[in-house]
Amino acid sequence: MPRHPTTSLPEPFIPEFRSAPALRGWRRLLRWSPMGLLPLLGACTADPGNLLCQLGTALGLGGGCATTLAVGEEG
Amino acid sequence: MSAPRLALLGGQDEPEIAALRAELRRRHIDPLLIDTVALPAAGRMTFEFGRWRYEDARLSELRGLFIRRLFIHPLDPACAGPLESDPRATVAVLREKESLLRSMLTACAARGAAMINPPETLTCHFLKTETLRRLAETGLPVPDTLTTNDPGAVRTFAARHPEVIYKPLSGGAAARLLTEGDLRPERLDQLRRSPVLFQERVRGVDVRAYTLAGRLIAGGLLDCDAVDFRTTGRAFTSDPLLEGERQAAIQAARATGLTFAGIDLKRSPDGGCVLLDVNPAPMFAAFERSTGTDISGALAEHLAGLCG
Repeated sequence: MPRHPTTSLPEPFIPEFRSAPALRGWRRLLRWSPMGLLPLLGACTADPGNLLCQLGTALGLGGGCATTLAVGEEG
Repeated sequence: MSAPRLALLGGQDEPEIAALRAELRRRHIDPLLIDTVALPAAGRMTFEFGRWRYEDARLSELRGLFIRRLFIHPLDPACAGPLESDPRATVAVLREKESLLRSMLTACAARGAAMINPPETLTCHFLKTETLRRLAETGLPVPDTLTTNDPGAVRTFAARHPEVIYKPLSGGAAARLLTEGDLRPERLDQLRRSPVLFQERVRGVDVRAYTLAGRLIAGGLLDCDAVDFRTTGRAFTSDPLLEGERQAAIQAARATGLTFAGIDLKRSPDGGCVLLDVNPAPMFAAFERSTGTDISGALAEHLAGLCG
């Protein structure tokens, strides 16, 4: 059986696919100062429906909606 | 043991599920909620003696199922913790859950239950390249598209268009503008790791259309300069769609076999339109709020009709 060329492969072209899982994003978020979170919370208060999108942006999920990772059931 | 005629599949905290449940109850229908997010940690699903049951409900009498969320991908933010701490088990158990749900749905379909949308159509969002091919084959306008892991093909494609965007083949990241830096050899070499979908950038107003059973039930516009409107956090406003957009949305849903669909289009300054994406299980709660449209009511009416 041919081996899959898993060694010495570059990072994926899509930047979001290189980053660590969202949990690391959460840890990054928690390391921020509370003041840094205020604009995010303000945006969410203005439209709670956008909460996931704002969080997705903050967590480095491509600046998109966090739910876009639910394959086949996004949008 | 109860024998419900209607079931909603999704997370119980999802606003779309809550809105639909409320609309159905207003019509004196109490649907069974199968919490596909919490399963199997919460909720008991069993196949025994040739029959399926969920909690204390028999599933053999189901006439209709609304699928908001079915399979959880390992990259779903909800799986971030387990994926980091125990990736092998996380992937394995999600695959087992998929097998459970897919088998249950297949049995329901074999008994004649209608599904919004059938599981086999849910893949259209995952297979963006094939969906675009199918739409184009139907004669619908789609952006010039290149899906490849070939750096040379990307350079040629980029030379053909003033602006090019790129995005994943299967979702999971926003669309981005292709820059000169992206055309550097070391950057394009990254295509060896994974193919990418490239498209000519289509400028114009974003249009979202919702179709149900061959008719348009809601539509709205969002005018912004972003490559991907989802990155802006801005909401759609209620505006009438042009006749060409209405027809394109209805035909796109038909071409992809979707009873219910959320369709993304771009309106060009001359009033023409281009289809960008077809969503088989679209979110609609935030859209309803910002536009004042009634998608959950239309869905509830349709589902109530299935119960007969």
